[in-house]
This record gives sequence, C-alpha cells and structure tokens, in this order.
Amino acid sequence: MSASTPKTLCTSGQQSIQDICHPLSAEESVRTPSPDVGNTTGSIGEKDLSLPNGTPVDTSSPASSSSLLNRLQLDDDLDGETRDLFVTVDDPKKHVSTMETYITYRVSTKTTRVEFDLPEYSVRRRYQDFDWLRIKLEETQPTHLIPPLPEKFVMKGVVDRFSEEFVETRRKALDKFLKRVADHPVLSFNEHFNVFLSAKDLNAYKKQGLALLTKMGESVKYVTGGYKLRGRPLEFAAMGDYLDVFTQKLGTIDRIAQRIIKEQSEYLVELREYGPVYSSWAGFEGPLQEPLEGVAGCVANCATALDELTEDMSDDFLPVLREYVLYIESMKTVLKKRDHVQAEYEAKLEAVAFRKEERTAVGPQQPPTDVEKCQDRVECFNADLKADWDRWQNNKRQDFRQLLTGMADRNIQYYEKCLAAWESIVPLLQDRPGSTKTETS
Amino acid sequence: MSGNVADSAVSPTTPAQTIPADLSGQMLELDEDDDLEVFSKDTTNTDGGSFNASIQTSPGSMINQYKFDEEEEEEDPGAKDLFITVDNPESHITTIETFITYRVVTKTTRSEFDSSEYEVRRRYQDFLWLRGRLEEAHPTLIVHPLPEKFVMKGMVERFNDDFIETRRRALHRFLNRIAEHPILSCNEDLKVFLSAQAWELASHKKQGPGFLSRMGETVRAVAASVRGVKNRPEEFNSIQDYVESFSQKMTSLDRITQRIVKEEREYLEEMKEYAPTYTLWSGSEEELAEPLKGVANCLDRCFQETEGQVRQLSDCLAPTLHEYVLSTDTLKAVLRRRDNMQAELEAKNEALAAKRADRDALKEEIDKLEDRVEWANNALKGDWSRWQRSMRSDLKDAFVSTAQKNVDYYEKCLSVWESFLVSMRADVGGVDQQAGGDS
Repeated sequence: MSASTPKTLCTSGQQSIQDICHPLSAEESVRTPSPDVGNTTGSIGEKDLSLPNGTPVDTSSPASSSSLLNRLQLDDDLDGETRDLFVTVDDPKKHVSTMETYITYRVSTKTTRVEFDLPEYSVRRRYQDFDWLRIKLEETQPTHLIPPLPEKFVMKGVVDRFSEEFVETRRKALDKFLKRVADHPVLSFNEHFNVFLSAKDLNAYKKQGLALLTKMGESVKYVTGGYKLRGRPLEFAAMGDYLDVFTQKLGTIDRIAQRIIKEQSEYLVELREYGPVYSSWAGFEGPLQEPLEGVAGCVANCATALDELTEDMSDDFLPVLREYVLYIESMKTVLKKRDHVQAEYEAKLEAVAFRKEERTAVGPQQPPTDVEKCQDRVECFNADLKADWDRWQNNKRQDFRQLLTGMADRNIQYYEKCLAAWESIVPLLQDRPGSTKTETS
Repeated sequence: MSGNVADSAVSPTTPAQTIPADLSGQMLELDEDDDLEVFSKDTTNTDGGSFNASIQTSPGSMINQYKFDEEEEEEDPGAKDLFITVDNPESHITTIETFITYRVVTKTTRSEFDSSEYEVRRRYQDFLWLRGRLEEAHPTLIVHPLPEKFVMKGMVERFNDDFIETRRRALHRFLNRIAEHPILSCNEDLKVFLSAQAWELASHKKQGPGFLSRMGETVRAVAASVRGVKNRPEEFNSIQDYVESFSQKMTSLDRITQRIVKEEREYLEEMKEYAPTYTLWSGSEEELAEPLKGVANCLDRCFQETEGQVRQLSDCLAPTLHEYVLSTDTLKAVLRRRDNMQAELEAKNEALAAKRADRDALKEEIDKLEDRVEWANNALKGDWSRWQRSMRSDLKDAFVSTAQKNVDYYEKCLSVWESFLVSMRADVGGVDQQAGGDS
C-alpha cells in the first residue's frame, strides 16, 4: 500500500478486493502483539489500533479494563459466578475503498481464560465477520440457542447505512450478541469464537476453515433427512407454543409502536411550526405579547421533550423487540433440528427392532451402535436445549423488565418536562392587573 | 314566565340606554338617519344613579353563565341589562328536512321590550338572517361572526353532538356580544329575534324594509370603492396593517391547531390498540405478567387523559382561534365599508369643487355625508377598542384553560407511570429469588 498522506478515512488504495487486507492485517508484522503487551498502563495496544497507512485510529475511549467494565450490560448479575471473559463492541469507523464502503467496529476482549494466549485483545471486525461467526456457531453447536444478529439487509434508500443512528443501533446489537455468546458456558469456549476475538487476520482463518470443513465432511451438520417426527415431547411442544404466541405479541407491539412513533413525529412537525407563529404574532401585540411569547416557549419545550421521547423509543425500545423476534426465529429452527434428531433416532430404533425380530434365529447381534449414537444425540440435544431455554427465559425476563422500566422512565421524563413548561406559563397567562376574579376554568 | 321585575322605577318615554364610557368618551351626535337606531345619550349613568341600582338587583340573581371580563373598561358591570342564553338544542324532523333549533332565553329590564323574559326557539338560518340585518343596518360597526354555515365533509357530521355543542356555544357568544354592544343591542331586528314567536319572525323576515334603498347604497358604495380612498386617517391605516398581520397569524394558528387535533386523534387510535396488546401478552407470561399489566394500565390511563386533552383543544382553543379568523373577515369588510364611505365623501367634494351648478343640493348631501363619516369613524374606533379588549380576553381565557388542562393532564399521566415504576422496583426483591424458574 502506498503510504500517502494520512487521511481520516482509511482507504486501501487501488487494489483488487481479494488483495485488500483487512485493516490491521497480519502483514504488518509490527502489529503482531509482542509478549510484553500485558503492560498495565491501561489502553490496549495503541499499536494495534492504527491503519495500514500509518494513521492512528482514534481511540477516544481506550479499551482499558475499567472502561470495559463500565460498559458491561446488566446480565453480569445473571449467575452470580465470577466472570472471566469480558467483551465489548464499540468505536465504529467508516472504510472507503474503490470497491465498497463499509463500517468496522472495535472488538475488545479481556480474559483470564487459558484458552486464550493473551489476556487482552483488540481487533476490528465488520458485520460480515459477525455473520460468519454466527453461522459457524450454528454449525458447530447446533444443539444450542445462538443469539441473533441485527438484520443483515436494509432497504437502500429507506435506511441510511452510514447514518450515526443506524450505526449506533447496529453497534449496540452486535455488542449484545457478543456478550450473550461470552456469557454462554458452552458457546463461549467455541474455537471460532476464540479466533473471532483474537485473530489479526480473520479472512485468512475463514478461508482455511472453509477448506477444512469440505475435507471433513458434514459430520457436524444435521441433515434434514426424510425422518418424520411422531410427536414433540410435551415440554418442547410447550416451548414451541409459547414462542408462537410471544412472536405474535411482539410483532403487534412492534407494529403499533412504530405507528405511534410516526404519529408523534408528525405531531412534532406541527408543534415546531406552531410555536414560531405565536412568537411572531407576539411581535405586533401589546398587552398580549408576554402571554403569547410564553405560549410559544411552552410549545417549543414540549416539542423538544417529545422529540427526545420519540428518539428514545426508536433507539432503545424497538431494537429490543426486533432482536427478540429474530431470537425466536432461530430458536424455532433449533427446535425443529431437535425434532429431526429425535425423528432419526426413532426411525432407526424402529428399524433395529424390526430387524431384531427377523434375526432372532441367526445369533448374537452386533451392538446397535448407530442407534445408541442417535439416542445419545437426542439426549444431549434435549439437555442442552433445556439448559439454554432456562437461560433464555432468564435473559428475556431481565431484558423486558428493563425495557418496561425504561419505558416508564422515559414517559415520566416526558410528562415532567411538559408539566413544568405549562405550569410555568399559567401564572403568566393569569396575570391580570386589577383582576378581582379568580380563574375557575 | 314573566317575572315582576323592579323596572318600574324608571320608565322614560324615550328608550334610555347606558353608553359605556369606552366610546372614546366622546359625545356622539346621532341623527335621525335610517341607518341608525335612535337613542339619546346619558353620560351620567356611570356614577350609579337610581337607574343603575334597580338594574343591579333584578338581573343580579340570574344565572350568568358567561363572565365578561371587561375590567379594563370603566363601565359599571351592573349596567348590563340584557342577558341572553342559547341552549337546549333539539332536532326537528320534517318531511323536507331535518334541522336543529336552539332555545334562546332573554332576560331584560329594557323598556323597549314588552316583557322582561322571553323564551323562543331559533335555528341557524335565523341567526344568519339576524346577522345579515345587523350588518346592513350598521355597515361600519364590528358585528361578531357566526360559526360557519358549512363544514368540510368528512371532518364533522352536522348532527354530531360535539359539533352541535360547539355551534351552540358560538351562537351563545354571538348573541352575547351583540347584547353588550351599545348600538347593536338596540337594533329592532334583534328585538324581534329575541322575542317573536316562530310565525311572527317568519313574517317579519319577509318584510325587509328599505331593501331597495340598501341596494342603491350598495351600488354607490361599489362605485366609490373603485376610486379608492385618498386620505385615510392614520389610525385606520394602522388598524388595517394590524388586521392584515393578525389575519395571517390567526389563519396559520387555526390551520395548525386543526392539524394538531387531527394528529392527536390518530395517535389516540393507535393507543386504543396498544394497551390491550400488553394485557393480552401478559396472559402468556408468568413473572412478566404483572409488569405487563402495569404497563397496559398506564397506557390505558394515558389514553383516557389524552382524550380529555384533545377535547379541550377542539372544544375550547380551536373554536376560539377559528372564530377570530372569521372575525378578521368582518374587520376587513368594516374597514372597507368605512373607506367606501370616505371615498364617496371625497368624490362628492371633488364634484363640488368641479361643478358649479347644483352646489346647494350637493353641499347638503356632503354635510350629511360628513356627519355620517365622522360618526362611523368614531363608532368604529370605539368598536375597535372593544374588539381588541374582547380578543385579548377571549384568547387569554382560552390559553389559560388550555394551560390548566394541560397541567392537569401531564400531572395525571406522570403519577400513573410513577406509581407503576414504584411497583416495579418493589417487585425486584422478590424476583431475584425466582431466577431460573420457568416463565
């Protein structure tokens, strides 16, 4: 790459997409973390965070341990156990190349786990990389519920992919995703997750991994064979039913909440036009001037309060709903997979039983290891799923309690602000020198 | 129905009226012109003579639904002697049409009325007729507007309760403004309107005295308007400017207020669906059920309160603003007519200067016209102050009641969410012990 004058936006220069290295790629041998990186000054390797052309990435919030801890979500109280893996996603940056423009996020890790070579990591990842991770997790841990990612595709022209709002919403969702994986007693030890958090060059690993997989075959994948399930066990059927109802309710609330936000935005537009008219009218009135100015100010304050409320709803409330809708979709998929595993087992069991009858005369049988394996699979799957279900229920409860509390808080703030605005002008409006009556409207 | 009101203390043969001192405190020279009601002025009434005393006792005990905040006037509030209420809308169905009538109750001590109390039923058409007559009779006085005849389709139904109530209030205000007006309240047609039975009114309407002479005047007025006014007095210029700006602002405010009401109504529609969804959802949850029901309750309460707030907006603030939009039309028309009068005068003066023949006849006309113009100017100035005071008072009242309603609204919504939050926080202690259980 040409070492041109450092720009604020990093560009990889005129190269074909295959040759464009990931920022912070392994090519820059200087960037490889040296053994003595575990210095205690706090900021995770400034040396890590600069771009190929030498421009240092802005580390306005260095990923020191204290700031990482500060950014933890609530679920660290979840199990009461001591955590040994902390992950954060922040610092979105735009990258412009000839082929495409995209955003990367800084992923910072702090851990004491021996599976990691170092106690601290800081890498940059783009959405594609998260998507890859999720797919890998689904493939390698099919019996577990994998947390959802924010939507992959957005309608161009409707949403601005590079707007601050969109990027921030996405960042929060990605952060939540990694935290959920990091909290999971099984998923957090996944090989791919480890690499995702620590590797300098993820692309190289991805390519390598691809080759490996094709060699090894599909042993880990659960093919949706033609096995038909007799019936779901009660507890899993209940799960399925609950998910159906839940998803429906969330969908309705999402829809209505969106419409409400839209109404509020339109109302806000009116208010923003309303106040100034009173103001300019006040300009040519005498005795009415103060009251009118008062009303104008009041309307403006209410408009601002409403703006904040609507923004909070969009930024904090809706994304959680959407996240759970996605979560539920992936959970239903896992339930189906479980069904298939069970179906396979049952089919094989039947086949063996059938053959058994036929061969009673022949002699000692071969141990039906195939059936045993299937049975194992079913039992493991069920156990994993049940554990994950409980975990999910817990998270869900916490998330939604927080959601509802947040909703109450925001509403309270909004009403408080509007109340204050109107209260302050009542005396102003009622101020009538020499008035002998009290207002009794 | 007619009470024995102590009005016999004063019974002058000529109608005595109190003229509020706000008419620029000037002595009004009133001539026997067809256009104007004749009455003699009595400037001593403001110091509470026996006449006033009697007035204070009789109507004082009556229900005065609407306060008239005229504290800025020096007028003695007890001088009011004509009280009108409009209420009790009823619908009438005939083979041809359906319409609403309103009860108009009048209580008065004025001697030109035969009785001291009247109760009649009038429909909107009758009010229209009355206003038309008042404008014709007093083209340069400010006559309060009526609510609109037609409403936009889809906005409101003619026989919808809200609409009828809004209209009733506006009609009530209309008659009361007329009743307060020192000149308009003495109008003969008003008297007929307030006191005549339905059939009497119908036949009176048909008479339309002086119709042709009105036509003639109109024609002349139109002709004069083409010429334009040359020397408009400065104060009318500033009134004109004010009316222009005011009209603009009022129209904007009226429009935006309507849109705000519409937005809020749409929002209410959404809220109506929103709260029940949380209730439904709570049915399939266990630990989350209480919080969800709590939220549903909050949303429902807020929905109800918002309904009240929107009603306030659409029943009080919006109609007031709208009325003043209509008012500016009247103001512009009045200013125009005054201009026309002056233009006619100027034209005649020019003719006088030019013509030699027929000077005497022309001079006499001009003298009359000058008097009329001067009277019109003074009356208009008086009406203008009165209008401004009413406007300020009306709007302040509307703002105050809107503000108070809003304060009440926000307080209620606030407390609903606050108590929800308190209950949520109280729950937390119990919740943690249940961690790990099924939902």
